Amino acid sequence: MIIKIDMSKDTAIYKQIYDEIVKGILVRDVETNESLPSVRNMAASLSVNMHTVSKAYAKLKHEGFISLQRNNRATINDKESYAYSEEYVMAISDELEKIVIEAKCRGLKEKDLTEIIIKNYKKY
Amino acid sequence: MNIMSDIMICFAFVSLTVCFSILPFVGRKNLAFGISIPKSEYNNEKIKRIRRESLYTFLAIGITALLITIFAFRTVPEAKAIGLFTIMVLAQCFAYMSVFVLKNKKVKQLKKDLEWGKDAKNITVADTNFLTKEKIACSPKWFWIYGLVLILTIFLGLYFYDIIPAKIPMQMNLNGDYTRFADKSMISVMYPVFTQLFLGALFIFVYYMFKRTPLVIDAENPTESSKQNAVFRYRWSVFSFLGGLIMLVIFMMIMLGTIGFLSMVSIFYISMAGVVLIVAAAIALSITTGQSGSRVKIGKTKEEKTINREDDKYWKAGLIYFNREDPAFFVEKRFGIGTTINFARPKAVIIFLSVIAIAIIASVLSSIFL
Repeated sequence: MIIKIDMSKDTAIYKQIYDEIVKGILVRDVETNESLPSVRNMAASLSVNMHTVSKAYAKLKHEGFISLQRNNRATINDKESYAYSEEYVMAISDELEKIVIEAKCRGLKEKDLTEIIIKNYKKY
Repeated sequence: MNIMSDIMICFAFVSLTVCFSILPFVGRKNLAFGISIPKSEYNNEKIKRIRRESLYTFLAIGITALLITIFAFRTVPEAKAIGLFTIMVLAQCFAYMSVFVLKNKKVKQLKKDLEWGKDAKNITVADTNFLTKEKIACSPKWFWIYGLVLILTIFLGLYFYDIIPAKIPMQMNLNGDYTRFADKSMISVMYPVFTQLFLGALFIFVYYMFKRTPLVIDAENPTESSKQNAVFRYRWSVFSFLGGLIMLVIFMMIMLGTIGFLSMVSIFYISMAGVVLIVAAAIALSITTGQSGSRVKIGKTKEEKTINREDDKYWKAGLIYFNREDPAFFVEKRFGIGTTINFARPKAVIIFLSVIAIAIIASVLSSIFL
């Protein structure tokens, strides 16, 4: 799995790492039970602070994507562990609301906005 | 001084000059003299000119140093010749470093003037397969062969201890004549073994460094870049294993010479052949592979205004990496081939300094006690 981080973006680096790994899981670049690199190795490879990677792993764990073993090894969970919950649907509904508000405010058409979502959904 | 020492001096200075002169050309395409630039600017006329200038300067320095040394060798007493030689080699290295630092400043200014850093994407990439699954170096098991050579050398020294002459040659000059002898003792007989231990450890350390340095992956072609990195790491890991093996075998030959099975002349030629082989292989490998496989052709590259890892600010004079945020001990060099250490990591600095310290202490101790 290739993890690409854009340091010039506004998105926090830990969030970018999180997003890249979730993408990796979706496109099956990493399989269930496969290990992720250690926090140190991942941080060294990206030359970022270890806390940044820890934070990304902690969030992945919190969302059920990975488990952290006793030896600090991170492994990918099975599908059931990260299947969506009501809580999650509510959370993204909030996020999408904000996006829709701004888009509508800027005059983007409903059709064009849904098209973006559909296009991205079909991409993967 | 004779023809032999002239050949030796020529070899040393020519290889040093070649090693440095190829450096601006074997690096990554997104770096120029240790400054990160967009790949598309690698063939920028101004960058090209700076590279050319540095090549000519390197060659001029090399030729000057060579001529001075050859001339000076004819005027100084033999005892001081080795010292002069060492000083000249160090002076040449220092001159090269200074040229590099000057060019580094020049490129930095150019980057600023032409605004390459402005609105370029700053991307950093990791390939997790190389952290968990794939191998990037030859198996460490090969290094058991070092142990075999070592044991064989110790065995030779012990088994033939009685027939070893009372005076043991310790040092050779550039003509292949012995200049210093030590009284026979367990320590002086085992001198080649101590050297083998040090060299073996050094080459294992180099192998380990190549293995442990995080891969720097090109953001524009991550997959190809990963492959190039893997080729580079694998080739150099094999090189460090074989290079170390050659050195260890040379010192086994020296043990044979101490016993009296090999003549002085043949040891001289064997060691020279070994050193020439290692230097030639390193140069050939640098030219064919480049830093981190930048010269290994895999697929096509698309050109975009992307800067791979904008971390100029962590590279002091383009040579010394100091980044407190980065947990890596070893990092890929910005200029030249191979890896260097993160000076913000105390442990890495300690390892680095102890390697140098061991070398100095060992040579001092041997000159005091032997």
